[in-house]
Amino acid sequence: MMKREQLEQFICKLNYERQVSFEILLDQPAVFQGTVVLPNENLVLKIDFSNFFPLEFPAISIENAQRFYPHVDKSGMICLFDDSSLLIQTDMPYQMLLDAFDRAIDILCIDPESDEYKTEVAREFNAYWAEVSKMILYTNLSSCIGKEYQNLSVVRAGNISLVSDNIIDSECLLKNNFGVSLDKKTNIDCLLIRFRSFCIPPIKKTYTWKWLRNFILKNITCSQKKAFSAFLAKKRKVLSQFLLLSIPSENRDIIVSFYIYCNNNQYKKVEKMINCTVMPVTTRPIDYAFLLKRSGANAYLAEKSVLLLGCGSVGSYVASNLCQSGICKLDILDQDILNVENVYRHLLGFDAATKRKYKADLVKEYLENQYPFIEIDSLNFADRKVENFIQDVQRLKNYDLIISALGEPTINLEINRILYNENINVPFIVCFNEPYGIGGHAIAVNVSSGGCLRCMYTDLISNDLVPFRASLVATNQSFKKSLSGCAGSFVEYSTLDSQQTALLTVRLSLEVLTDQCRESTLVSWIGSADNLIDHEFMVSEYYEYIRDQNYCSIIKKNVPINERCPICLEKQILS
Amino acid sequence: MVNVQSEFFTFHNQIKLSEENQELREKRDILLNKLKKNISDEAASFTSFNQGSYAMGTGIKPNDGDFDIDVGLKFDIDHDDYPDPVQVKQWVKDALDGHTKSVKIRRSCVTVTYQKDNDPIYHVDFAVYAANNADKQMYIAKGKEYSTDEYRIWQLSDPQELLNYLNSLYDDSEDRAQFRRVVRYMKKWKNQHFNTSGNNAPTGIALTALACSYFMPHYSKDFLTNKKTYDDFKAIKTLVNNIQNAFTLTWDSDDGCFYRTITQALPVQPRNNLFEKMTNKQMNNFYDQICTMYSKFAEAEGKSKKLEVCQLMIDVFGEAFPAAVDRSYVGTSESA
Ligand SMILES: [Zn+2]
Repeated sequence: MMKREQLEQFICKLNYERQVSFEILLDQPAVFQGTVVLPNENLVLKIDFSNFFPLEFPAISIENAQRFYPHVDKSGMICLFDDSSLLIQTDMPYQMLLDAFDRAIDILCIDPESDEYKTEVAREFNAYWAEVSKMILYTNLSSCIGKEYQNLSVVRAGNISLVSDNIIDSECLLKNNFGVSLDKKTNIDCLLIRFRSFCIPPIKKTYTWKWLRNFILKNITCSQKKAFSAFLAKKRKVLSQFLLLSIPSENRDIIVSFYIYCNNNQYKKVEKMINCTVMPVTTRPIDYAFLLKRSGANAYLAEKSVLLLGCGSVGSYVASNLCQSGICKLDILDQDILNVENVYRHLLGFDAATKRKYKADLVKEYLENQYPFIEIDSLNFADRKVENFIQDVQRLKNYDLIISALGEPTINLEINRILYNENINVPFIVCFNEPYGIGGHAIAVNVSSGGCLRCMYTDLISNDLVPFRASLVATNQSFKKSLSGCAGSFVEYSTLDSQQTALLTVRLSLEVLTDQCRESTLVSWIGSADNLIDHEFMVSEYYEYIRDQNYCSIIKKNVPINERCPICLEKQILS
Repeated sequence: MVNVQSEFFTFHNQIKLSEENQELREKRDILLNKLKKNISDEAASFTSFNQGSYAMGTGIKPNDGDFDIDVGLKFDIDHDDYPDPVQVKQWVKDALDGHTKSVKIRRSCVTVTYQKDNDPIYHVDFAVYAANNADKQMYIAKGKEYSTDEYRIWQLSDPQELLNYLNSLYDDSEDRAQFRRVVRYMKKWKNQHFNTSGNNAPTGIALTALACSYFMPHYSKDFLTNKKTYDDFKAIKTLVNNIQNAFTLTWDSDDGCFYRTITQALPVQPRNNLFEKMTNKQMNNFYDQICTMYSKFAEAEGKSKKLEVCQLMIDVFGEAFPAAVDRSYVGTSESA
């Protein structure tokens, strides 16, 4: 911390330059207090250097707040800057003080009638409201947007309160997404009222029922008043009620909620319950669009339907990443049972493996628990065989993207052939690892232009089928190891390899789904060859080429049409 | 079409006669040593160098072991001081005479045909040059022992020029390597399908010159590495097609019919027509063989089995072309 004398000098200078009169507080060696005169009010401010100044800006707070200020929390502390996004010149401490002071004044001068004020409030209200709230109410009210006046029911079970526009939805969400038992549920009345215009309550530690009533009445239309007065005129012994005030704002309504509770000896008009407890309640929307906005995901993706073939090591991470990125409709096809041997490189842990269930079902179960609003179909009809599934051309056409994490080039090429031959305009992404951590690939084909998957498996001077041309390991080496006969054969790679490959795959998937990938694209991550070489295998010429060029970890290339590719050739002839 | 490039490479390794070929070097050196030891004191000093296909990297091993070795002898003389070029050639003949079965002065060289015990026959052609001339050019001695004066001439000739010309055709040494391979394939094909006596077959130099005119390197570039992958099949097929198209119809009044004939000049001095010694009928036979070869290539292109393609290539090039087996799978390093 800086020396007191130094700080006093700064304050002195500030007093002079900004025509203010801050004085040190006697009991605190680094805190100064003073009054500033603003257009409509005089505010007492405190400047506190007792933090890590000058690594941080001094803290400035209001001592006599009378209304809601944006960027000001319930203790009056002004949120000056979002520190995490600033690089501070800590060798200019006086300038820091000046900047902090000016910023504080700017914030306090935001006109409550201005759009800026409304925007700022809308942005921050929930955060400040949460500080004074004592309860959390989950809301699933996207269907109620814009409703003027509505009676709803909050369902409360296992300490979770949730409101939807109908009780059944609430119960489903509670059960499926919160995993709570509905055995001891209660329903609580809830009233949704939409204000006629923007008006935000001050943030206070306590509220009275009288104040709240008047606040509501002041801000609603005549017809709403009629309905609300009827509610106030009701006679009750016990009042347990949520009030959801929907306040129109810039982009979306701000929901300000209260819970009011009163237990009387005799029937009383709601209006007259003076000793009513009024509790601020934080609402947590769980509607899909809001959830995704918060996590940076793209709501546009919610409409997209993706088929994932294979959910082994790479596939399981692809599924998880897709869900977190905002994909809501995912079909997973995998015919294998998750077994304990390979569980260390699967998304799901040992616990899941002991259940002896299909990978697709387990991943569905796991992801639907993790992320609300995700619909996964584990395609558990028939025999779960890819070879059968891909015969259903009509079904394939319904997807927006097909991803193969099968690691089986033969089937991948067959899918590629079907898509091209049957003119199914569904982009196809294939992903796989290469052994011993040397790398992995994701390749997107069947987009607007560029080569197909077979192009990457076609010789340069003939139409011979060759191993993946961008492979990082030399051809004609066998990497399959066997633990217990043929059925237990596996290839050396780690969960990190799979996660890396999955990341590339999902990024590429998002590009494809948002139409930002219009040419066939190959993305490869390149790892170290040390482990491979230690096991006496050889790298490919391509790997050597990359290493010679410039060692770089991720390579992205457009895939051109290979003139020899039989599939592209046929397509050209037909068109 | 299937990829038989590796078979072409194997084939090429089988037939090529390279500068490192030890058998050839030994045979040449035996003769050069004899020449140095026995050449008369009157003769001017000389140095030797490789020339011909051997020097150009287009030589192939002979079918019957009869190696054709071309050696140039640069005499330190001004051709103006030796009006009779045969006199200089005589120095060479005399030095080697008696030590070998046969030494003959031929029009452009001194040829030694050699056989030792059970070793196969081979012959060495010594081309004789005057290398220290006032105009700094090189002259080759032409003429036989009993030629009249008008056939005894010093002809302007730079043995390096063809090699320089060849190197100038393509910037990429890999492209030149494909050129050399394809010329060797053509020569091998010639040995397979022509009676080499007389002027039945096109000469090696004629095939080389045809390639100079009609060869184009064929390869595909890998978008990943930008590396060229050469396609010898396509290269020779295209060359053969171009040669086929270079023939024209000529009326032969002696035979009373049309023949397909061809001309091809040596691309460097003296730019003579390399087919001038062949009769129209011989050229027509050459044309027929070219057509047969092309039809084999066309047929191979339609095949999807390596075995079948290789069999067709064996028809063209002989047993030196390897037979290959087909496989229904390739290895993979993919897993997920
Ligand atoms: Zn293709």
